[in-house]
Amino acid sequence: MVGELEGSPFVDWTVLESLRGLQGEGQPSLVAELVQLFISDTPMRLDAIRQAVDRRDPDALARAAHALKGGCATLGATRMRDLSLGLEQLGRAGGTAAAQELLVALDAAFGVTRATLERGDPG
Amino acid sequence: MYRNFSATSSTPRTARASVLVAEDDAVSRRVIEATLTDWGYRVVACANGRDALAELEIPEPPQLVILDWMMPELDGIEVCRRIRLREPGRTPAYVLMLTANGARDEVVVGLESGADDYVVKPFDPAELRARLRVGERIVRLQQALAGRVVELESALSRVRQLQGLLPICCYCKRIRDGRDYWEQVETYIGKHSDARFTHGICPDCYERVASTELADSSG
Repeated sequence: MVGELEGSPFVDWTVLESLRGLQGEGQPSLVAELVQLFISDTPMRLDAIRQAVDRRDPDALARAAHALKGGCATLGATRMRDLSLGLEQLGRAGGTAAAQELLVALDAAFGVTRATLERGDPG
Repeated sequence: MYRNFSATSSTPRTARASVLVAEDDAVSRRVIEATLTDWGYRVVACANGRDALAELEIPEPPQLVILDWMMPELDGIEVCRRIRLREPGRTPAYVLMLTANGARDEVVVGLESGADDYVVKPFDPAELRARLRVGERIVRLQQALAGRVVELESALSRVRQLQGLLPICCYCKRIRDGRDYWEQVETYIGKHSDARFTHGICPDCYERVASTELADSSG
């Protein structure tokens, strides 16, 4: 499963571009605000997932992974979204055993996603 | 698949309804808030179901409600149930549920918990806007109907109906009331309807009575 996910991009810039359309003239950057929200919220979400995996609690895993997935999807953090979805599905299926590997990949993906978002749109 | 947010900014920014949004994810919440604000709605954003219920307790609460399905403590389903439980005697809110992509069973549970409609996340702006407009239409209809009912009830309470057989004297034309008093026609009708009288003299009576009296008094 992890292998399949490696193809998805860390950041889908078209999503961020479409969000830019919401910004009112003369207003502070909405996209920058969203990126900050994402960066400050995500460690807490990752912690919740880690705790669920440590406790071997599939319900909590599904909930925590779902919570992270929403923000990732909204912001175009595609790789993290797919990894969270994988963890959510594991939880729903009642298992946490294979979650460790996905969690490590998700942690790493957050590092790259964060750096990519902070660097800004290449286009 | 993503989502033409910017096509919406051509919307005239007239004052629209206020919308309560309950979404625990900060990024999604902010995006919904910015999107709705861009469309001219006033937005009340909450991070959980408990706050959302509290916001609906204020006087003149938002009539349009967007609830995320998955929230800690109180999820969207439970919030929706509680909204409906408290609703008798109030104007019902129009509730849109945000559900995960492809979860058909969620749609059924959501609608059965009292939601009026649902939108799949991540939402398509055009679809969300269209569904919010449906909600606005329904809310306006309900408010118009409720207003008409209030008007009709107050009108009914004012109208004291004149109906049935009235016993009237053949000679003096007074009417007998329920307690055996004989009343002038104008007194009786004045008591039993909203009609009021203004007194004058018709041409026949003028000939028959008034002119004679005038002649008498001048002579």
